[in-house]
Amino acid sequence: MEIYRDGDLQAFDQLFNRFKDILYRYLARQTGNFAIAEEIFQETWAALIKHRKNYTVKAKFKTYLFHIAHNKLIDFYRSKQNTKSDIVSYDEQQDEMIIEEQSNKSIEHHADVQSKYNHLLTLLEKLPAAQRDVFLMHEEAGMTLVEIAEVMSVSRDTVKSRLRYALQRLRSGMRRFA
Amino acid sequence: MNDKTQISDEDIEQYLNGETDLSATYAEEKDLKAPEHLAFAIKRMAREAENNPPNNERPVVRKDVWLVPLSIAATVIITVSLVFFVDFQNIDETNQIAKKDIDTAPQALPLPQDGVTPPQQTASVEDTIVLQPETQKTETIPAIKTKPMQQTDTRLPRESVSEKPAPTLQSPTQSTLQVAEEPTDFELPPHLRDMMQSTNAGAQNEVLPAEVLKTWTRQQWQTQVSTLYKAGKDKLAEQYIKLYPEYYPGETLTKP
Repeated sequence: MEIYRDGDLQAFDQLFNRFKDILYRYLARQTGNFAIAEEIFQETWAALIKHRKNYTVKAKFKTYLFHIAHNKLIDFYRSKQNTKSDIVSYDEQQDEMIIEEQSNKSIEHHADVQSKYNHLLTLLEKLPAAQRDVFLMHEEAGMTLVEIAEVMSVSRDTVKSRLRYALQRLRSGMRRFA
Repeated sequence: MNDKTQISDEDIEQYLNGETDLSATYAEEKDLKAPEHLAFAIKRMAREAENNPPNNERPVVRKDVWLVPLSIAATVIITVSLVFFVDFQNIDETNQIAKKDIDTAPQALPLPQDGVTPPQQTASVEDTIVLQPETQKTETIPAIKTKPMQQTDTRLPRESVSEKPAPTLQSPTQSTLQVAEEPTDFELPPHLRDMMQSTNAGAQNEVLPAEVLKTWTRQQWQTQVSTLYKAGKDKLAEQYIKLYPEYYPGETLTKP
């Protein structure tokens, strides 16, 4: 990133090729909508390009990139919340019982035709956005709790708590499916 | 992770180390990739930003444009304030000097010479009357007590009040003596003084009254005669030349 900041476009190409798929999957799984994911994906890279001159080495580039993407996601959830969209807010905690009922229905529906992976994705979509964020950042970008805490601007304990709830629900859903 | 309600720290550690089924399941299929058209658009965006930096950055000078009218306004306000301040200060100083002269003038008055103790200025008229002879009441007391500096006293020379001491408290006899011995202290009545001041020698056709002439200095006489000659009024000028020895005995005026 420092090389790109100094004007080397090849450095940007290397960064982009290395992180584009990771970031895109993270956004797609997080929003559950490819169109929205593409929009936020483009906004994230545009912001990085625009503010390249202000970049300072404080953490890994991966953390910097996901921090921008995370903020874009927050903006997206807030805008949808203001327009009373069907998409739930970022911090909204869905009722656990509702998730379980939906999970059971999805098991019945997908048991014969879809793989275990698709069922995991279905369970993932039902998680609260903040918990899903933690899970996806670890799975897609391989981030530690500390790095995720930096991206989300929260404490490590908060990240750990969110991960605990996420694993708990995913584990519960996958056990019934198995 | 035995139960859905029991996720221990060890379970979390196992998950973070990739030792759980969840991670394995999620990693089975990762064929979802960013669309090529998006990748192309973003790379083009990066090139355009690199090749055209001035278009994306505002000139630094624009940030300070608002300072210009502010500076002008501040300069005008300060200048106008200073001008008014200086003017008012001069007026105040003038007023203070005048007031100071008025206040201090009576204190510089000479003491009376005839042994009569002057009454205090704060003393009432009745108190003073007791000390004075009955015939002198109206001549001395009111002039000092009521208007010491503004009174029109014909015996004072026509000069600024601040340069001359205010009328002193004197006995009537002394006042009379002073008038007789010092004719130069005589001051014309206002109507005569105005007439004298407005006198245009060139427009005169007859000699001015003796009351006026006796206040003239030698220079005034000389000026009057010269002016009349210049105006072509030779006869009138000669009359002044004849009158001159009456006011300055033993001296003569020369024809210019």
